[in-house]
Parts: sequence; C-alpha cells; structure tokens
Amino acid sequence: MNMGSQHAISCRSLTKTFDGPPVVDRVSFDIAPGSITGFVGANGAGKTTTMRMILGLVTPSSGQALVNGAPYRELAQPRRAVGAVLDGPGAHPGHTARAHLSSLAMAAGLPPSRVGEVLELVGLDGHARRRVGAFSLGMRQRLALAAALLGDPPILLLDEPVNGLDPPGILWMRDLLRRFAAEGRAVLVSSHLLAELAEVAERVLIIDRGRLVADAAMDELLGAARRVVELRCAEPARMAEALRQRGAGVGVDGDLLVIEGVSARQVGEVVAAVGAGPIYALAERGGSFEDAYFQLAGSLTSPGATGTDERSGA
Amino acid sequence: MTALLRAELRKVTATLTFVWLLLGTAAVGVIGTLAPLLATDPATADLLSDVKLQEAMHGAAAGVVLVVVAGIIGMAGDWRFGQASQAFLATPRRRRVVAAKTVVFAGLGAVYGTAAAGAATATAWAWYHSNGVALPLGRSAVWLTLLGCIAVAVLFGVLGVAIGALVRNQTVALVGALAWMVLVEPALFQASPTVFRWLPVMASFSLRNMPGDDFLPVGPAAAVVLAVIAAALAMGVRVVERDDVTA
Repeated sequence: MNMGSQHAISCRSLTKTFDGPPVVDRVSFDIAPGSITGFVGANGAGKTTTMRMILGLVTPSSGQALVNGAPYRELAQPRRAVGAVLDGPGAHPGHTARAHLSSLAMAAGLPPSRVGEVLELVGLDGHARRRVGAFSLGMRQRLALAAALLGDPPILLLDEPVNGLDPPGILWMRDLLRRFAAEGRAVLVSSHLLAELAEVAERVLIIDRGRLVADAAMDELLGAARRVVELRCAEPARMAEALRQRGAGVGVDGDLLVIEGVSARQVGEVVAAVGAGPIYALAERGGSFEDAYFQLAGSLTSPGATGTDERSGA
Repeated sequence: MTALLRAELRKVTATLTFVWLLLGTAAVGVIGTLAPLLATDPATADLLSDVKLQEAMHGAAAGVVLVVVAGIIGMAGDWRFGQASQAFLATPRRRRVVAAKTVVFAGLGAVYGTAAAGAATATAWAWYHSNGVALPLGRSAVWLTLLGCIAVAVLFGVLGVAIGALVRNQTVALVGALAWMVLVEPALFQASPTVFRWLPVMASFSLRNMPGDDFLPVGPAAAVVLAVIAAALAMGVRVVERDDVTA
C-alpha cells in the first residue's frame, strides 16, 4: 500500500445542486489514513452524492474533493488508490463473479491473480462461476467489496456496505473494517445503522439535508449526548410539575417521565419531597450514538424535499 | 489502452447476448440473400449480370441493424446495471472508455459482417449451383458488394456505441434506433428519394452496392455515413464526459 503524508480524502466546501436546493451544501472534512470514519445521515441527506463527488462520478457544483491531494479524475491508477462500494456490485447479472472481477482487473491493469485473492477474502471463492444475477443481496455486497479491494487500495469508500448482510455477515464486515484501519487504510463508511457505526467508527460525520452538522470523534459525541433519567411513579403529573419548577426538562410518555438536567438521585429526592411516591421505576440512561444523532440531525427520515440523493441511490 | 480493450472484450465474451446477435446477423444475411434469388426466374433472368449479383449479395448486410443493437447494448447497457460506475472508477477519463468500446464494437462489426458475408456467399453459391451456374466469386460485383457489407457492419458497430453514449436508457436507444432504421428512413426515402437518400441508413445502401438509381454514389454516401457517425460519437463522448453518474 502506498500511504501519503497528506489527508487521504479532503473535501472543501463541496456543493452539489441538481434541481432545487443543494443536495450537498458546502461540506468540508478531511479523512486521515488509518482511521474508520462513519458517515451518517437519513436517506437523501447527501451521503451518496458526497461519495460520488469524491470518486469523480458526480461533478461538484462548487468546491472540491481531493484524494491523496488530487482530484480523483487525475489519479494515475485510481483502483490502486481508492476502493469503493456503491449501490451494489455494478455487475451485469449474466456475468459470473469471476468474469466481472476479471474485466475490472483488466481495465485497471491489475494481475489476474488478484481476482482469486479477493474472492477468497470476501468468502465468495466457492461461487466464482455463479452468475451475479443468482446472488443474494448479501453475496452482491460481498462481490462489491471484492471489487473495491482488487487494487489493494489504501483508501476505502463504502456506501452502506452492511445492507443485505446477515448477522454473521455484519460481524464479518465489522472485523474486516477494523482490520483495514489497523493496516493503515483510511475508511469512510456510510450507514444509517447507527448502532453498527458506533461499533466500528472512531470518528463520525453527520450530514443532514446536505449540510455537515457534526464532525467529531465518536467518544466526544457520546460524551456530549444528553443523559436522561426515566421515572415511573404514582403521581407522574405532580412530579413533572415539581421537576419543571426546579428547572429540569421533562418529557411525558404515558406514565413514563423522561427527565433531563438532573441526576437520578436528585429525582429520587424530589419524589420524596413532594410525596409523589411510591417509585415504580427509576433509571439513568447514558447518551447513545442515537441520542447524539437525533440531537444534531433531528431525524433519520428522508428530508423528502431533496430527493435527488434518492436518485443517486443514497 | 490495451488493458481497457481487453477488459471490454472480456465483458463482451462473458455473456451469450453477442453470440445470439452474431447468429441473428448471419441468419438475416442468409434470408436477405435468398429472398431476391427465390423471386428470380432462372429461365429468363441473366443470373450473371452485375445487377443480379449485387441484388443477391448485398443481402449479406440485411441483418446489419443487429450490429447497431450490439453496440447500443455494449454502451448503454453499462448504465443499466451500474457497470458505468465501475468502468469510470477504473478509468476516470471517460472518453477512453468510449474509445475502447468504439474499437471493440467496430471489431465486432467486422466479425458479424464477415460471418454474414460468409453465410450469404454460401447461400448464393448453393442457389446458383442448384440452377447449374457457378457463382463467380472473382467478379467485383460479388466481392466489392461483400466488402461493402462488411464495411457497413463495422461502421454500424461504431454507430451503436455512439447512440448508446448519447441515450443512456438502453430501451429507449434500442427502440428509437430500430424504429428510425427500419421504419422512418425507408418511409421518408419512399416519399422523396432524391431528398432522403442523404439520410445515413439510405446512404449505407450505396456502400453495400444495393442496386438502384435513386441511391447516392459511393463517395458521397461514404462521406454522409462517416460524418453522421463521427458527429454522433463526438456528441456521445461529450454527454458521457459531462453527465453525472448517479447509479
């Protein structure tokens, strides 16, 4: 692998407008070698379009995306520099897995031996002569990853790589991503499976309606996520009122109070003070990646108004 | 460029589609050759006249529309299954991908054209033999016609790539091209031969030595066909270079 000293990927004010509002709006970030960066956002938030701009498949309306310091289209041997998984394997359904990878290897000037190696790496060596049209979704994802790894690239861009994978497949992918990072590769992986990303990513980019709303280490993000206390007691309405008077934020969901800004101990003391007991349940819940995400981006549902990223398979 | 050519060739040989199209081109070539011969009365016709020989042999190019189909599938088909993304990830200078496809499908056109010419020759030889006449293979009316048919197949392979580059939707490209070649141009030509003989498919009839007073001379016909294909290819390259690849 050829590791450069500069950023593996660098985006500066990357913007893309199709028709209507920008699908990607002045997005800037850098990806360093040897790290896994999660790229999170709702469907249509701009993840796929951003990745396609980095890969030279979509032309930015303004701004620039650089790979190893150069636009992708100017890379001398792009498959040796970057591997990408985008919306399936991009294979003709009538081609066998081996034929598909062989044609990609030939086009990239890679040795034919790489085809067998990557098929083995992704666990498809027993299916090399099967037609891609007969593959399951999980097998297609593995084939897409095999194509990305053909050039043994130091940079990987993976768009929803666990889509269609079964639980063992997801574990396998998680281990593979960690191995890639340990080997010094830069990995940018998009997903809307937040828990899955929290398992592997050291850093997270959150994109919402085309704008980057967070670029932080996962630990920082989890630390910043609000902690809440959940309470069930005999007098929830009286308790909610008492807590609000003390400056706490209170959400009511039936007989469950979700309280922010105070500790579980303080909540217990208030219950005793106002006589709202007995307490049926009292628990303090730590901030999760989901909490952090929803705080920053609002929701995981599609913005709807953009829609263009849907077109690009986001 | 050699690596890219090999890759495109690998894609072509990885499915049976192009084999079926080859067989189709040859089969239609046989029918195109046999049809005018079966309509001939050997007792009264001069079987060895240039016109009669050209009438039979130009049928070798009757299936040349299938070469256009092959070119369209080769180019527009890449957009259909996401192969375009993979091709442009390996070769970001997209015009090189179009150039490789152009060379490969010109070559494929030569193979299809030669196969169709061979099948047509065998068919004509058998018919002439059955009527007690030897097909004069050395006559220019025969071999120039066959060479013209092969040349048209080569050019139409390139035309298919150009159409596929211009129109990304494979179905639209195929239906549009077939309708234009089989229905629109012949109908226009019937309506006004002197005007519409300048259309590319009608001009290609001159290149394959199809007998007829209304067709262009070979020189201007070749110029028309080459100009149309060059323009379509240039526009196709521009579209491929410019358009975003979103699937």
